[in-house]
Amino acid sequence: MLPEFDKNAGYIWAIVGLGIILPVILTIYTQIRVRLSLRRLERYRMLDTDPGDEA
Amino acid sequence: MWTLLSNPHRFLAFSRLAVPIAYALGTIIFAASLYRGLWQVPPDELQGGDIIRGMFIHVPSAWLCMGLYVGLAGASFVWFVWRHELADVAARAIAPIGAAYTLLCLVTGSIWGKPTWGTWWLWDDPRIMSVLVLFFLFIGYIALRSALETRQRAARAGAILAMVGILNVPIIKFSVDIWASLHQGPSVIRAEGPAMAAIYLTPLLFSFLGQIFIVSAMILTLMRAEIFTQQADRLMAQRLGGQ
Repeated sequence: MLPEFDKNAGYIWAIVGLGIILPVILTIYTQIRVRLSLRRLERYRMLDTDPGDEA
Repeated sequence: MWTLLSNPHRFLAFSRLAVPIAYALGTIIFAASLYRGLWQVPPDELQGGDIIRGMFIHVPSAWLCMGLYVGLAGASFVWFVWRHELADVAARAIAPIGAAYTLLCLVTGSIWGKPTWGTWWLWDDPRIMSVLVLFFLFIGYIALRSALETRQRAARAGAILAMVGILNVPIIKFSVDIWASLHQGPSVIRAEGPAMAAIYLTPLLFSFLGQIFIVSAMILTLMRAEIFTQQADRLMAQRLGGQ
């Protein structure tokens, strides 16, 4: 059940909504960054140890 | 502690454990503070009624963006003086998070300003303008680093910009004392102690603490990404050098 506010309810919910959405977006962004960089590193490591690579 | 974590392998092991703990703690504390701030705290009629609840998002974002800039300048200083590579990694990780929280501070402040002052924005308000400068400093730091070709040159130029820009932080803090501003004077961090009632101050401080944990988790994650990128670049360089 959401709390009821005075005439400024729209402004309050806009501020609260942004305050919740921003960390969620930043968390998604940081997780994508770390997964992409780790995937790239693992690909290079596999290339580095690939025995058939010299051929 | 810093010496211990200066080794990338030790840092990766530490951050792998610290990130989920920081996210869990931060989310619980932040959610609890919002519940208290939105559901349980009474409206403050002297501060415009229910709009005071915007403070639990806006004020921590303002403290965070200043704190993050101090972190950026501090990490830049450590890199500049001691050439500590992890400090440069930290500076790179702090910049986008700092820019995002500064934008949050500006936007939520603007939304709060409309019902309180009757306007979304004031170009002659020293607090708003100095925070806008802080946002441009973060963006400028990111742009400058991206524009330079080698990592060393980018780190050096970025560090100089970050260290010079630290002058803006006390300007933000004391702008309401020095110049005429629609912003109210300091009500939490002041020599005489907080002017705010404990019923508002407690959830405000908890909201700040929760967001510190969440932001720390984000920064550690970006630092991990940067270390993986550097390791991949090194492998690629070795591979190209060996051919």
